[in-house]
Amino acid sequence: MSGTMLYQPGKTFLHRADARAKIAAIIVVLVVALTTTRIDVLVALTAVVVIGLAVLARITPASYAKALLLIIPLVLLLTLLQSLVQGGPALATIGGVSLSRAGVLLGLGIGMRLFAMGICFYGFSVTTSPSDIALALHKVGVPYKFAYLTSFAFRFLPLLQDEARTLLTAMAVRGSAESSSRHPLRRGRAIVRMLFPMLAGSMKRSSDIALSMELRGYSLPGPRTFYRTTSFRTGDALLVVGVVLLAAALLVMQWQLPAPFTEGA
Amino acid sequence: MTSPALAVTGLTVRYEGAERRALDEVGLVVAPGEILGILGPTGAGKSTLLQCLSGVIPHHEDNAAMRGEIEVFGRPLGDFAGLSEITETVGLVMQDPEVQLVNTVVREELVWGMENRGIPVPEIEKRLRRATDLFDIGGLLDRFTHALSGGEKQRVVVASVFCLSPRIMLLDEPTSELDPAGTEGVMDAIRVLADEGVTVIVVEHKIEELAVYADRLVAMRAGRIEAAGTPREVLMGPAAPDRPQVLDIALRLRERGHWDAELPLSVPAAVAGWQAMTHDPQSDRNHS
Repeated sequence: MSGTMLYQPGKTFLHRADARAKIAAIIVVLVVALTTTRIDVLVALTAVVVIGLAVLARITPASYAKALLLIIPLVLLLTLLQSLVQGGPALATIGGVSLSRAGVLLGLGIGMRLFAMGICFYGFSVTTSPSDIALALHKVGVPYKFAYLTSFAFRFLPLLQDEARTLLTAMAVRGSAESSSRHPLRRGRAIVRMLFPMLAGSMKRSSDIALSMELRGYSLPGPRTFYRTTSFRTGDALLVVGVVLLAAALLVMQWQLPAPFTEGA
Repeated sequence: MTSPALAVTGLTVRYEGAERRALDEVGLVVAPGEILGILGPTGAGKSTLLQCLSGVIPHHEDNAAMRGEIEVFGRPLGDFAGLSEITETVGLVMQDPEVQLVNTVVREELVWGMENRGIPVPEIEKRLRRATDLFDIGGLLDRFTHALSGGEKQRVVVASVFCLSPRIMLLDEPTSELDPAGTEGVMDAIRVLADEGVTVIVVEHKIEELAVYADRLVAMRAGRIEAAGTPREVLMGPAAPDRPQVLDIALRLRERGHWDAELPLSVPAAVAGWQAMTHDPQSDRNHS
């Protein structure tokens, strides 16, 4: 992954698409992902998302591969747990412990679900300007003051990253071997140690930010103007229709085709 | 008679648990269109004074007890409905630019305050053009705010407050992260604003800049105003917290009998003084 899930300006179809269309597409993907645990359907869904991002936004798997690698231990853990708690025929027996076939499939299905949703969110955040997200939410009826907070969160994510980096560097230059260690446990200890000063700094900063926002009229009750405008075009409608059709096809696939890797399948 | 832009009487502030007053019976009158520079060491009360003048104390800071009178164009600050109404007249630029950049892209940052105030889009565009020209930030408009350098952030923050067209601008160390060229650019912009009638109060440690650009200076120490007057009066007086280096050099040269011209507050003035002293009328006659 390129480091962050922050917006990267571009001129692709997805970059130009209305944020409302992209939010609708995400919701459709989430509905499909959350309504099935069938691994074949989820693999197909993930493939659709990956190909969709490559074609419509020129986002290749290489740009989010690192993030996916981070999810793999979680998926393996989930699969192991499910294989131990689920019943049914065993896929394998290791040291007298049976690993359920249904559990393994369920764990892998949940993993694919995480992949599909994560890649989808990644694609959305790197192709959509935070202010467009706020504007889209406002257009669908969310009061601007709340809609703006989504944009605000994207602004302060890099600020927190910078602060964390500064604190870790400050610890390293004062002789803390943990803060520059590549060992995940040692590094984890440094991060835990860093959390309190980071939290304290964030609390102090949040008061200044609130003041700064108030000084520029954030809390004014009067009507607001919008410098940027968005419009829902034919291409946006086609995006939503296309995603809905693909989702329908996946659901039909779930109902019509027998589940794979089952007895007699 | 026109009211002063700001009139302060007996302003006293004490922070909760503090041993001494942050401001102690401060009195001040600032004329419309004036650039007032505030000097003083750390802890002198400069930032607290700006916070009082902008209404941040008492409206936002609840750990400070304040008494005294502040009038903005003849209207007591206490008569304003709240911070939002005060900011229609008084714009404050705080020290840390990082906490004042609340949008992801510079263009959005500049227009955000105007959108909040419901300013029509054509007027927003007009002010945006003016701000980008005045603060030389045209090339930054599509950049991410988190990716700007410290100096660029400061210029964007000052410009975003300028876009709100306040009649009074309070600037707390607006050039602390700027290089000499950037500092000169911001100070030039401040001069332009003052010439157009905007009152500017600027807290700065760069004495050389204030000496050149400010109409008047105020020197503060331990919450009190120790001296006020023209830059020359304040910087030559005993209460000056520091002096421009060039003035110090000229004073030493004068002690040794090598400087007869007017004492300079800036390098160009020193060069002019030096040229005047070394000018040989005989050589001029020979050349002509």
